[in-house]
Amino acid sequence: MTLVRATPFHARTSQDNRLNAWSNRNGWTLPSHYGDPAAEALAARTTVVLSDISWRWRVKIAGARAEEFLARLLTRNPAALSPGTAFKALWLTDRGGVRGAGAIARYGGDSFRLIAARSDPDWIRRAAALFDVEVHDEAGEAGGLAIVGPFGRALMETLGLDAAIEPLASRRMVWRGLDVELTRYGEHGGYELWCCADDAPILWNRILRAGEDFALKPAGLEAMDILDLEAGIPRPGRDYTPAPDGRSHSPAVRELGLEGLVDADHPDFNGRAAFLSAPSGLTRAGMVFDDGGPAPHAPLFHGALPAGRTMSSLYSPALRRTIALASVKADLAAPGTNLTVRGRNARVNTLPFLPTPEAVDP
Amino acid sequence: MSAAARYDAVVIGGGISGLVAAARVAQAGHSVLLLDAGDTPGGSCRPSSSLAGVRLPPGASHCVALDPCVLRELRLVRHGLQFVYPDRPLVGLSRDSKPLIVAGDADEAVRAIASRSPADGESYRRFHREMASVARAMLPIWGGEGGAPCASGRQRLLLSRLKTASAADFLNSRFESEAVKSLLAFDAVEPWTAGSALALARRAALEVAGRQGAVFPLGGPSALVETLVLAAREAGVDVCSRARVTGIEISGGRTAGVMMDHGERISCETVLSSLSRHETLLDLLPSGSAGLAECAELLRSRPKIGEASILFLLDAEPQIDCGSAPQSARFIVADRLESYAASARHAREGRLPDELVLEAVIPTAADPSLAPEGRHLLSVRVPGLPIAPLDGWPGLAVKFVERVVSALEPHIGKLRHHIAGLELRTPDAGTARPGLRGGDLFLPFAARIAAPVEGLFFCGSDAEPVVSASGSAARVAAGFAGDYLAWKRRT
Repeated sequence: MTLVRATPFHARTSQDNRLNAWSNRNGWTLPSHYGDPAAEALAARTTVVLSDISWRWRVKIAGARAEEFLARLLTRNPAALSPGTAFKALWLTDRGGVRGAGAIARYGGDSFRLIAARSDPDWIRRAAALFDVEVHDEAGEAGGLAIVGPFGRALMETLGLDAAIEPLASRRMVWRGLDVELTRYGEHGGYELWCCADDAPILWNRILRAGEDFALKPAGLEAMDILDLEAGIPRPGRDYTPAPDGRSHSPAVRELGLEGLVDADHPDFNGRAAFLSAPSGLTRAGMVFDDGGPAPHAPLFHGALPAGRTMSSLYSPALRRTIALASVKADLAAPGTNLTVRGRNARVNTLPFLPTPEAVDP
Repeated sequence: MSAAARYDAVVIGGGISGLVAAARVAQAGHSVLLLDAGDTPGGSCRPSSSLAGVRLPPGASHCVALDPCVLRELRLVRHGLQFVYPDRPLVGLSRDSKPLIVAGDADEAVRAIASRSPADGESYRRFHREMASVARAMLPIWGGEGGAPCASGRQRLLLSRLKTASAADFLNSRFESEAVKSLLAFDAVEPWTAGSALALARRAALEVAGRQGAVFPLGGPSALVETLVLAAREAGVDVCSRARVTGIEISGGRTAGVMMDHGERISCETVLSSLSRHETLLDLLPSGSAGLAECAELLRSRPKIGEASILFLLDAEPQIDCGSAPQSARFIVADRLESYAASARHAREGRLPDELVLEAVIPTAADPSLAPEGRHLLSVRVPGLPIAPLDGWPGLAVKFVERVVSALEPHIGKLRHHIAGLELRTPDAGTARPGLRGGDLFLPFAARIAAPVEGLFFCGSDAEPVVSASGSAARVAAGFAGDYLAWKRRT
């Protein structure tokens, strides 16, 4: 018998998931869509959507040397973080391969939380043992919902939550009797609301009821993947395979176009020497296909010469085109360059394909 | 040494390796500071402190097999170093049968073994030839010159087998007599581990390379240390004793200096460490700076099994019943091949093994000057012991010495009545060697010497294929450090 590892919102999401379309992410069972992924993705650009993000890997890192540990682990220096703020960073292998990416938030002097799209417990735990730092995996303890869309801000105000919270900030509060944490770590300009697993159905009901005035829809994983791709964000597991061991060179940071998450002035992070000396042959680019369906993980050619490869590829309902993320040779990454994939034309596009949905006042 | 001291190279540890490395780097024209935590340089070769007049530390009589290149390059003979050449056959002692003498001369050994088992006699002839041939093939790697093993078709076949087989398996496939197998297995360090079969050829390699284990400095390892200190000082090395290094400073991913226990900081371009890889990367470098994967792996593989040595000071000449063999021989007490694996199993559980495997040498039989007039020394080495036993070494020491004396008494009559003093070096005392990893024997020197941090090199016995104080690794490491300094100057 296969056990369903259900998120705290499963009782509610399964009511709305009429077509019984489920996917697995990070070991959790989540709705792929609630009937029409394209409509859900468009709703995130035109109104507002609600998505279950309890699958995200959250670990609490605490100890007297937690800051020193994270400074060694991450590509940016957490010394700069004040309590209640966060940044996004990578963690690399000894030889500069990307092991993972995530947001790191500071809660107190020696207390941090790491939130990532893919779990990497062995690496973090083994590294933490070198610093006597405690790592607590919070899987299943909390439920999280993302609220994304132009009406997201208005919905937060209706709910009586602090809509003015800055991006990459977090607030812990008691909201109408529930202990919740409000964060803005997502890439789509939205809000995330976390609560303890037992309170999850109450949170879902409250938000859905308040959202009726804003045409709030629940959105499944497929719609959120479309948003990610339109924003040009490569995700571990979907766009690239993270380094399988501690001594891998690949995937290189520049090949994934993630150098924005690396602070080259941060003196001592793991894999720094390899990052600095790595050749910059490939870079991340967006591809728009003139015709045909998605072509994920396919080789790209410039004339007869190899030019790189695509990462994930999807149909974007907002652009009405098939798009893809790609790792292409740096000299072919200029927007407008024509390449071919499986005999079809593909054009290099600037990233992101579309801007994040801006808040509007209904 | 001023407050703002600055050197091209700092060498940590003033044992044989540290001294050789320091002298060689200084000979290349760089300024070198050697830091040693002890009162005088010498590391594990520093003479016994508790036995007055004894010029030998516990355990050290066995590990010196000086590289002839070091002898030549540092002109040690000109500095007054002399050698003794004791006849040092391998002798297996057993309660139930006569001693088995495996002499350096293969033909004598074959005859001795054939008297036990004619088939084993012939097997030994083949074994000896095989080991010599493997040793020749491995010379580019073990001799420190670099390059791939230079092997013919048959040698390659044998090498690929030795590389993966355990010494116990290999000996089982060659010999039938338990006495022969358990005697030869002693030199394989950890004969039950995969790849340890290659360590059987290490002794042959020392002979091929012209540094027989049987050549000893007159006056013991401390005489060698004194000569090396002279040579190092002459080459321009600043030798600093009572200077414990507490940390290596890293800046921009490369070594920038060392910190001392009294708060002083010395800046330098390169650091050569004669401490073990574990101590250097985990305890001296800032946490994780050698790479999180590397450090996590080292933390996991902290050795659990080590070796103890005891130096007995005797008031009468010990007489080991060893037939025609000289008293200067190496005596091995190992009842069966299985004893090695059993003792390792017990050690891993944190307790003293039921069957001790040990090696005994009478250093004063070859060089009477090591002990005071009228006194004699018996040096015993016991591998396969827990580094951190459940009861702790202080509580276990008396019981352990008693067990060693009981194991030796059947062969050395009235041993306990003649003990005038002893010094015990427990496995937890500093130089615990990590477990032998099969692949390590096949690694070129460069891979063992280079550290994951730019500017840091290993020059100690850990960087040797099999732990020993030959100075080979130190010599090669000094070459690396010299090249690094020259490259830094150019750029």
